[in-house]
Amino acid sequence: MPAPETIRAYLDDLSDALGFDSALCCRVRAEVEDHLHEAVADGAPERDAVTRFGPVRDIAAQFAEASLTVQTKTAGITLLLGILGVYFAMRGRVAWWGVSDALRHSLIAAAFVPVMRVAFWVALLAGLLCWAFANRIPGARCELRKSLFWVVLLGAGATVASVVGVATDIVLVGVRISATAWTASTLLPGVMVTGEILLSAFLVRECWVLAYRVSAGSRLIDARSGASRDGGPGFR
Amino acid sequence: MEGEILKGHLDMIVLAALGSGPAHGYAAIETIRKTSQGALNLPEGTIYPALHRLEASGLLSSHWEQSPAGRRRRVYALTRKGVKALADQRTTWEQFSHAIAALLGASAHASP
Repeated sequence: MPAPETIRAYLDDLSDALGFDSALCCRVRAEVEDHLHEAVADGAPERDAVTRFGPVRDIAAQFAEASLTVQTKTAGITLLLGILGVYFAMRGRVAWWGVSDALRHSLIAAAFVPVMRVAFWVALLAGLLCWAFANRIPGARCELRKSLFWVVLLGAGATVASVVGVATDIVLVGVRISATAWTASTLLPGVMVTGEILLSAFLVRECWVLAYRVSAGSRLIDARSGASRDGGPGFR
Repeated sequence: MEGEILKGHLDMIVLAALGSGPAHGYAAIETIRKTSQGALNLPEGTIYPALHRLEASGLLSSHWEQSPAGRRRRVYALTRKGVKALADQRTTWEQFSHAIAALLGASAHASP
């Protein structure tokens, strides 16, 4: 790909490279645009200004590294809080509702309660590991790639386990509600289950967005590593 | 100056450039270039990811401003944590450079 020679072309290439993260892309574009126009106002030809700024893919990879490091940390703590939110919603409902005979004697409950418990502990353990990995992401590029992979993998594991836990909980609440007459006290557990579902949906979305950004960002970082190894443009 | 040497000290260089007050990226690069009399001629684009990284670490804060030309520009400033980090790095650097200078001076005298 030929190097861009005008500010507009450079910004368009940079936006394309950072397109996986619209907020980052928007901020970087505005900052770089101001920088390049300042350079031109100081007397540099456009081509020199963009050349001095550095190769697009190289600069984009550096932004991706900085941004993904922060985003994985945020995702780690968000995931953990989400899982704890689901847990407290479940405990709150049990405390409010108590354990009914309908559940005590139900075969479905006998099968689903252990699944729900295991799913919750798996989600919590994976979430804690994800958070721990996200908080010790190293600066070295090869280590960064490895850590990002583990954060996404553990985050996905925690999210899937959390969704399984919520799904089993929905079944258990269904069993309980089917054996209970509808009253005002049925409403609060219903609201709590809805909260669990919304939290789970939020976790799935967060995990998906993180996986997408890490995947796209890693491609940039890999390309930069390759260019540096080959003696191409890079911060040598 | 060699890129690898600069890379190792990029964060300190950026913090030092903002030591005299808030600035946008271009102004910080100009400060680095002028203060070092051209010795620290960094690829300009590498400063911005460093600014983002230092902001995420809590060493810098930033906000948008309008440039005289009407464009949006991000202005960065040291936070209290950033001021302390710069002071710590300055002390470390002074100790390091004195030690290296002494070592190089001694080896120069010992050379035939």
